[in-house]
Amino acid sequence: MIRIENLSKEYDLAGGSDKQGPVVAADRLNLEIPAGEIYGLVGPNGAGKTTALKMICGLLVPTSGRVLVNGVDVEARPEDAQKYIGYLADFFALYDDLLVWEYLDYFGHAYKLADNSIPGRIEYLLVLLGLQTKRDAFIDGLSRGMKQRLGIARAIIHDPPVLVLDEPTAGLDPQARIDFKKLIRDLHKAGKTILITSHLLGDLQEICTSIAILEKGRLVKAGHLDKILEEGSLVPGAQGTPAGQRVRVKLATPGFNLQQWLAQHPRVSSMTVDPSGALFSFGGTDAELAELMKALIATGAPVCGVEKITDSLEQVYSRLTKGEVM
Amino acid sequence: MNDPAALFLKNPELIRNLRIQMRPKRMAVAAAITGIVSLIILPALWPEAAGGARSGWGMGYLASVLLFQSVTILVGGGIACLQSISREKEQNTFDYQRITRLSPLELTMGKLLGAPSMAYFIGVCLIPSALIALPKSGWSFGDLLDSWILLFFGAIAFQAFAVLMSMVLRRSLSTGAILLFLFFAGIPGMSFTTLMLTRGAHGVAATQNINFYGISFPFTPFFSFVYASFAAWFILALERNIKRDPAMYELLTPLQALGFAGWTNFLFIGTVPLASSRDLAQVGSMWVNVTVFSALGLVLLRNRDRARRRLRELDEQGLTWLEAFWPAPYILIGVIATGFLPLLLTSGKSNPPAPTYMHTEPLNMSLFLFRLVFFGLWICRDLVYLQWMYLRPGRKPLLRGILYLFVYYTALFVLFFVHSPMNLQPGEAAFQSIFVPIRVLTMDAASWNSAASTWFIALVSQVALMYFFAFLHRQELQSLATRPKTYPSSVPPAMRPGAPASVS
Repeated sequence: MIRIENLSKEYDLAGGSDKQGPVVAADRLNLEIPAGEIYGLVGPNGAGKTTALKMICGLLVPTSGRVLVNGVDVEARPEDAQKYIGYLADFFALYDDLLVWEYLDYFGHAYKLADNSIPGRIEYLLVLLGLQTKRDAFIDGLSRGMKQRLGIARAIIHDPPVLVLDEPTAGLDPQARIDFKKLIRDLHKAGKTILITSHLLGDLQEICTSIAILEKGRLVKAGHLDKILEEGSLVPGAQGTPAGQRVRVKLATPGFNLQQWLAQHPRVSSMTVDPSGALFSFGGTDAELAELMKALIATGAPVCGVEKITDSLEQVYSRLTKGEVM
Repeated sequence: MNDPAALFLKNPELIRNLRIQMRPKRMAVAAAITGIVSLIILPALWPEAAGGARSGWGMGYLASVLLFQSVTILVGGGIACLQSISREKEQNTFDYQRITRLSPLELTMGKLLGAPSMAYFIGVCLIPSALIALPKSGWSFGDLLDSWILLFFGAIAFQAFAVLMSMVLRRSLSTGAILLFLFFAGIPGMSFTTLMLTRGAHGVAATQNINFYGISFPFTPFFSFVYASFAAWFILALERNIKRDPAMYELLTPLQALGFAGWTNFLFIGTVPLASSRDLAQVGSMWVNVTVFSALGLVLLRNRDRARRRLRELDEQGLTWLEAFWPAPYILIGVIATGFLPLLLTSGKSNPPAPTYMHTEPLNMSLFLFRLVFFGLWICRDLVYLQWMYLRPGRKPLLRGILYLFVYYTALFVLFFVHSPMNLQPGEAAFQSIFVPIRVLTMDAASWNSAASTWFIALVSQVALMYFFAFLHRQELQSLATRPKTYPSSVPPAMRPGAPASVS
């Protein structure tokens, strides 16, 4: 759906004398975002997330490289590409002097929807986003959460297959964030491809199917969220042994010498034992882990639970950007 | 393709502006204030003497109303246009417009006609006052309509210029831009005021016709056309750029810029009584072209973003010297091409004679060519200098470059012009032109004949200076061609350029 090829953007900081100088906001990025994904773009401030999104939308021209949206080169044919894109910026603003319906009506016409379809589309979106009671209210009087929802209504008024959302949950209260995540899931179910950035990694972990991690304009890691979390959760093995997944074994009753038994196994390392069980690193496959557990139970150990420990996106992100894992 | 309905009647951007500005309450307040002003303040503004005994209070009051209309529409509407894009950029709403399917022309016309709509509404509210004064003014309804038509076209041209400025503005310059804009507002404003004063004092017939290359044109249609033509140029520039990335603005293509320069020269030579003398026409057009080509050259200058892209495009061929002289080749071709216009345009036998107070000389072809080339090199020299400055790192490098140039010229003007008599020896004028090439605009055949070698040295010095600035420009380009490395030590080596990206 979105294909980024060797995309670079260099610009100059225009701040005070200590902040001046050239900056690479995007450094030869290559990324493929398939249709139907909720794709999270993660990185610290200044990593180049907003720059990348703006180049995808055709709002910034790259220094080199190109972006294809649905096969259309964004720089060569921006208007053709933009009809596939709905965009919500990080510091978004609306026209405070317009009524809610007037705002959507403006964008409905600006996106060249058929005149007779616009009123119906507006009513549909107002219901979808829970703004029907605010139809005739001035935008100035809406809460931030409502303005956010109105911004999303604007972004999807032309029913684009791709939604590009830059920090959409910033500044929202907890309930508004919950509502927003539900809305994103609903849009995903409706077949939209969603590209989203956020500093709230917990939110992204809940809704994204894939993520890409950017740091100083470079792509650090990209792929399916589950795979990245799994890989990111691996613990480096002892010298000469491969990195392993972390496993916790729980015992129903104390008394069994778990430490002694596990220490005999060559694929087990980094063990922490307490009376209720053990946490260890296992450098084998899932099948080998199953064999190990079978053998453990056969020795009479009162095993009441086994779980693979997967880190949160926040933990994995932190380790990845510190270079602890790649 | 934009059909008129999409542009004017169903233009979403125009409708949005009208919805915001023309709420019934706002319109009622504006109408009430306008009514009070036209009843109480305007009658006191126009002194009886200005209208003269010719037409009594009616003319005075009518002129007050018309001037109030012009100030409201030109200044008030102009400022609204000046903020029409820069304010949207500031509020982060402009990107949403750029990403819609509005055509660039629709967006342009929506802003051009929509932003000043309240100013036009106030203008319309003043129409009853004008109609009340009309019977006592000595004017016919046609004369009044004439003035309104002229005001409308002048306002459109000026407001198109204001929207264009708004587009190229950086947010922080808005206040300065408003002041600059108010200065420029004087151009159509003064022309309209002059018209009003002349008509008030001497009657409508005093401004009936204008002689253009010996052909008589009615005043109002002629100037309406001139204003409309300038509006069209500004709209063309807007249409080309309004939806682009602001870092990539290129107001006109080189060919369009050449057309604009040619059109300006054509109007200037024909309107100002210069067309009778080729010598006068050349000097006159060069004075105009100092502004025209400086402005067009500024438009062509590349910022660091554009230069980087250009360098990436050139990657395979490498950096050539021609790039270092940018934008000199285009400007030189433009100056020389438009420079021959005075020869073409002064050949008509029906051109009006030059005024007697103007000193005219027969055409000296070698002088003509020398002046043309010298003039072109001078403009190019300064533009290559500005191009170099524009690529230098730091804040507002172009503004700094212009400021240094201004200080340089001011200092030399003080040195050469204040302490020197106006009538210099020919050799002195030629020598000074090495530093202040504007002397070439006042050189005559006597100066040329007696100090040709010094003039040539001055010419060569322009080339040498241009080469020097091109050399500096080339160095900046070479430094830009190297990718910046701004990675702090906290970034792990695995994430620095050159390290393979891990994509699963």
